[in-house]
Amino acid sequence: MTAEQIIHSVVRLLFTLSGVFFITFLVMAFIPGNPVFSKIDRGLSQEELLEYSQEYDLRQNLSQKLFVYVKRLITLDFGKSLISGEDISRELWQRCRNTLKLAFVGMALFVLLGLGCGIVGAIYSGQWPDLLLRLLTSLLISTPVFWFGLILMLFFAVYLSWFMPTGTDGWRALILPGLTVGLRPAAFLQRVTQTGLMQVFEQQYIQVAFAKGLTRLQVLLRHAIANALIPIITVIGVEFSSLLTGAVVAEIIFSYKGIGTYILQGIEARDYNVIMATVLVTCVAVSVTNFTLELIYRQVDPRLKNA
Amino acid sequence: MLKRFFSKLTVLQKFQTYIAMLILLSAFSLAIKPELFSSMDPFTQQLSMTFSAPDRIHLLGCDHLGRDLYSRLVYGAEYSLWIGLSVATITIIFPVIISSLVLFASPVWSHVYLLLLDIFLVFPPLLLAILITASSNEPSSMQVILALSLAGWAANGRLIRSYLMQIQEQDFVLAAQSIGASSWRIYFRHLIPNILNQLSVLWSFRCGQMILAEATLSFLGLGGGPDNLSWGWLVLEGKAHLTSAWILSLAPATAIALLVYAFQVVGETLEKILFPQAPSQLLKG
Repeated sequence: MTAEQIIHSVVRLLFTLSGVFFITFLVMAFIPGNPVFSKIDRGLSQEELLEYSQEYDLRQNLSQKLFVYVKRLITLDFGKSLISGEDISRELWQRCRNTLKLAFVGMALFVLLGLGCGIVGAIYSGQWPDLLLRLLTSLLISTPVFWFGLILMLFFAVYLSWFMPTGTDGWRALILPGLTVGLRPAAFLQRVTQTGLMQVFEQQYIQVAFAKGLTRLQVLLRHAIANALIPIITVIGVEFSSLLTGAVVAEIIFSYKGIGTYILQGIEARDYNVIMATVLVTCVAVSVTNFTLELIYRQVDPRLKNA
Repeated sequence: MLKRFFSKLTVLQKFQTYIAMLILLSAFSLAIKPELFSSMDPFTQQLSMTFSAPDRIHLLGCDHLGRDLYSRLVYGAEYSLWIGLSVATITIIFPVIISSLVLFASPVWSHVYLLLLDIFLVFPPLLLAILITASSNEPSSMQVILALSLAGWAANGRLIRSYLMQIQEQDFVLAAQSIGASSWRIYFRHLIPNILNQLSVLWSFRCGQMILAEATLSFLGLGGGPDNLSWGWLVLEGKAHLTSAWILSLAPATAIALLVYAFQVVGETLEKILFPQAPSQLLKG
């Protein structure tokens, strides 16, 4: 990748993120309700409320607010939570780490299971493992993530009580949400891997490889996988964003303290600073993933190196 | 004609397609005339019947307020289908119109459109939908449709743009241009008819996905609520009683899964029929 291309991608990234910023800002401007309401519930007096709104810039008009946000964004300051009054950055960092752990477990399951089962399906195409996998994947693709989470919780946490039904601490808390997050995307990946491999197997160079006397597994590992990788990587990229969606749902089901629950908390309390911070962090995560995938594409497919 | 189409399918696919058709047929009948299928009112509370097990009168038992779960499911079908189908339709028609306009406009607009797509593609769809529906305590179905459409159009936008551009590069478009056909004529006679097949496959997949997205929103308490009996909401209601009465959350979730499965299978079947690719013979046996 040349320096010019890198600059081009970075500029595009900045444009995209500022677009995200403006959309979020606009949406927040139209959300009715106010963080002050949750303070009223706590019995603050009129003067205290006024002071509170002034301290957090709640009485400014739209353009002033925009100015404040842009200024904060440039200095990479997320501001304070409107509810607890604490710095958002620390809480955000903690929650990011939790969600990253969850996403990592989900991603590992997703890639390992998806690729593995895809290869198995391609090798045994038309035989019972293929049929079984087909049935399983179509069931998985159509099951809502939350249904899956509930079933896992019911069976492993309530019925067998192997795991705690809710919580954030320790690796054991990661297993059920990780499964919830990773399995549905894995089903998609299985499909794509299998069809991709089957298409590659039609090519003549594969027939040559078979003619040389290589076994199916050898052909697969040496010749087929590399050529089927492009659609697989695309799916991994597309599904990463749905993995984040799944993470939001899984976090809520299992009361896991991650970004997803933080966003919902922020929305419920109309905590504008928290909403803005979480949305931006999530979108940065997605764009960075896309960017990395673009780099990987170029590595995998030499034809794209100068594209 | 149906027979000719179906001859391209394997036995498993045929079987799945029949099941899917059956599910869709029953879902649509539930949505159109729910009172035919359930004599019970979905909102009537019988406090003596709380958490009662399924029996002959209450096919799926009753919930925590003694309301008949089966009839609540029956009356909820309309909402899921209505939201899913309309969002799928909007998120396909809107990008088709915009991409076509961009196709005819100056290249500057093409860049603007791509940038817009980029922005919306970075937003995880559920996140955007949550942000928008959060604007009221109980969003109307219009708000939910708007939220899901805004969240979902970009993914289609990119696909539809590439479909249109693929067709535009074909020789028959060049031929039409060379005999002096106007761009409107080329558009309506050549471009649009040639992407209809792809659009119908996409539509079928999206219907299922959007029903799922709506259910997820409702499950988070940000979509349909107690009035329209969205299945996702029923799951949320049942979740509180997961240990004592698991059927309350399991039954509506299964209903969602069946409906989504049906649309998924129909999409796959359509794809097989409209874009048949020779299956690989090499690895068999």
